Amino acid sequence: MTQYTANPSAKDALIDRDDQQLMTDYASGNRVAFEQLYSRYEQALYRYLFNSCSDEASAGELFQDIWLRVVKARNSYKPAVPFRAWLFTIAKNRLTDHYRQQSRNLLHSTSQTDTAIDLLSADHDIWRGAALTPEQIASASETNDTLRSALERLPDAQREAIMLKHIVGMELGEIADIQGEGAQTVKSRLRYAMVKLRQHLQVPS
Amino acid sequence: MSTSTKPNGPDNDDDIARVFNAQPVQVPDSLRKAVLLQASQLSRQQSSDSEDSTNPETSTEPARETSKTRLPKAAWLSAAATIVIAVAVAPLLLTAPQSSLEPSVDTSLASESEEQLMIETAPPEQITSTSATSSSALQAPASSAKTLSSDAAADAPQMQQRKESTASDSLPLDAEMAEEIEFQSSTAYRSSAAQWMERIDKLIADGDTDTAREEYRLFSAKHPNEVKSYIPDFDAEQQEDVRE
Repeated sequence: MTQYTANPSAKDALIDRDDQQLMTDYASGNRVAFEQLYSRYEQALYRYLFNSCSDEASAGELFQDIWLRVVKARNSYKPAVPFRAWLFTIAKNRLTDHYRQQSRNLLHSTSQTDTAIDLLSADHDIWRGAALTPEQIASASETNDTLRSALERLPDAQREAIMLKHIVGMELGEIADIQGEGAQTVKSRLRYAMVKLRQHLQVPS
Repeated sequence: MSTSTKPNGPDNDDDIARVFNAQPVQVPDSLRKAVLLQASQLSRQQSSDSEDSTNPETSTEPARETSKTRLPKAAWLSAAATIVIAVAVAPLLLTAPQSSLEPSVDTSLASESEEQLMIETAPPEQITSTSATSSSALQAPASSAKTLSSDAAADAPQMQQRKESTASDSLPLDAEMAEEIEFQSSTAYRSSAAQWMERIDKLIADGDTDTAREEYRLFSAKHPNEVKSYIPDFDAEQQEDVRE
C-alpha cells in the first residue's frame, strides 16, 4: 500500500516551509504538504491524546478524527492563525466532545480546582516538594501508565496546559490563546499542575 | 499567598520536562497509515467534489445545454420561417401575369453589381416600357412583401424592375456572355507570355500575319520586356512563298 507515501524529493522540498505555508499549499491541492505537516505533529498530537484519554483505542480514534477534521477544514484555514494552535484547538474541542460522550468527569471543573489549589497554597508544605530525582524520573518513564495516571488526576485545564507546554512545546501566550484565558491564569495552572504532578510521580498510586 | 515558600517553583520544571520526554509513546504504524490513507482519500474526494461543483456537467452545464439547445431550435425556427415564407410567396409568383418571367429568378441570383450593370446596359426605352407594363403585376408581389416588411415593400418595385429588365434582356445578354466566355477561352494564351508568343508564331506560320501583327502589338504592350528578345518574322512565310 503506497498511496499515502509521498514523493521523498517533493517532501524534502517542503521542509523549509513553515506550517502556515504548508497548510496553504495543502488547501491549494498539494497533498505532500499535508504529509509534511502530519510528520511534524503526529507524535505531539498522539502523545497529547494518549495522555488525555483513559485508553489507547480512544486516543487512536480521536487522533484519526482530528486529522480528518484538518483535512476537511483545510479550505477554511486562515494563515493568520498558527497551524499548531489551530490543530490543538481542534484537538481540545474534540476531547471535550469525547469527555461529554464518555460522561467522564476527571476530578473537578477547572475553576473549582484552581480555587482549591489556591486554598491549598496556604499550606506551605505543598510547595516544599522537592524536584523529582533521576530515579523517580526513570521510574515514571518505565511505563506509559505512570505519567498518564498522574496526569489523569489533574483538572482538565491544568492537564491541558502542562501537556501543551511539555508535549507540544508551546509558550505561555500560545497556550493562553488555545485556552481562551489570560497568560497569568495559564501560568498559575502550570504551576499548580507541576506541583500536583510531582506529588503523584513521587508516590505512584 | 506566600511566594517565599515556593523553592521548587514553576520556573524549575526540568524534571517534569524530562518525564514527558522520556515517555515511550509512539504513533502505531497502522494508525499512521490509516490516517494518511484516509486523508488522501478524503482529499481526493473533496477535490473531485469541488471539481464537480465547477464541472459543467453538474453545475453550469444545464445553462450551457440550454444555450446549445437553443441553437438548433433557432436554426429550426429560421428554417421553418423560410419555408413558410416560400410557401406563401410561391403561389403569388406563379399566379402573377409575369410568371413567365421565372427565368429572371435565375438572374436574380446574380450579384447586385451584375444586376445594376444589366439595367444600365439595357436600352432606356426598354426599361421604361417594362417598368410601365409591370406596374400592375407588381401589386401581388409587393402586397405580399408588405406583409413581411415595409422596407421590402418599398424595394419591391425596384427589384421587380430589375428582374423584368434583366429578364427581357436575358437572351441577348446570354449570347453576349457566351461570346465573352468564348472570347476569353480563345484568348487564354494571353495569360502566359510563352503561350502568347507561340500563338503569334502559329499565326505567322498559318499565314495570318494581320492577326499575328495585332497579337504582337497587344503582346508588346503587355510584355514590354519580353518583346525586346522576341521579334517575330512576319515576312518569313511570304519569303518562303517567294522562294517556292
